[in-house]
Amino acid sequence: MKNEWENKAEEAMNSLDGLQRATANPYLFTRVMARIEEQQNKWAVLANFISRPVIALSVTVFFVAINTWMIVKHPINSQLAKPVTEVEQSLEPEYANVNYSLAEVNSSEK
Amino acid sequence: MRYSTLAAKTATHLNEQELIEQLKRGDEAAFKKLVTSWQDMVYNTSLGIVQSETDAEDVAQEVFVKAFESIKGFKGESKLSTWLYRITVTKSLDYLRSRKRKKRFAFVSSIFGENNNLIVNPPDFNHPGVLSENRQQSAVLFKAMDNLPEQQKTAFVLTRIEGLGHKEVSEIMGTTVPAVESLLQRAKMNLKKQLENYYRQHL
Repeated sequence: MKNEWENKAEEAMNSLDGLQRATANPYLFTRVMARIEEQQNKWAVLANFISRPVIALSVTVFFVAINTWMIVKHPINSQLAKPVTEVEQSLEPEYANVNYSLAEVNSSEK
Repeated sequence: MRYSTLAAKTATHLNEQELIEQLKRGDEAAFKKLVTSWQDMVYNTSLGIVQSETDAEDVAQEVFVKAFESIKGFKGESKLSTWLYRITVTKSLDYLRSRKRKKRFAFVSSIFGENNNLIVNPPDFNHPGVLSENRQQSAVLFKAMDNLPEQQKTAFVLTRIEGLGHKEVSEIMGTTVPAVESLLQRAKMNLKKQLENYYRQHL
């Protein structure tokens, strides 16, 4: 025999029997279209702002200036084509054929 | 009889293919057809999950905006309705999560005295399609449904409120039929336990 609360719980569980589907607002399509247009407008406003001659020119000048500054301050070619100094030249033959084994190094130290 | 059903199904499939092609071309009339054909399905599903008519309408709008934006990526591997159900479930669950986050934030703010507004809990939800004699019990049931884990709640809403079969639910949720059956069984057990506790205290 079921308790009263168990019967009530069962009644609640069955309370969705015969449920009708809820209907959406008849103007949903209009609202969806308004939302889509609003979103497209946001991008359009951003695109318009970026494509303004003053903004576009300022951004271009800014990037050109940064690149020029980088090239002037840190010249890549000058680092690559660095002339060999006298000290480096004098050390060159010494390190030209370094084929020591660890045993040779140990014996020479003794 | 069987042949006529098959013919009807083929015709529907062809119509759907045609509609998808038109949608991909950005045809506004086709999009209107999509919205008017499936708006009740989307709204009713969302209403079952978010349990607020205003929020459900907001979610329905978001679902169709998303559908409009991503129709070009629709590969046609599932039915259009299954695809729309998936978007609806995702958007509704996202909406619930964001509502919970806001509620938590409002609670924390109120502790630190930044926001002294009272956190008002929404009133008991009554689905507009419930029979008038069942309104009281269904309000208690919806309250209990709100405490279910997301997956169980989704499976329960799709079967009991949208009246879908287990196979269709499994396709929407991207899982197997036995998994859906298991989710439903656990959902029913959880609901029964909550309802019994409620009535034990309130009778």
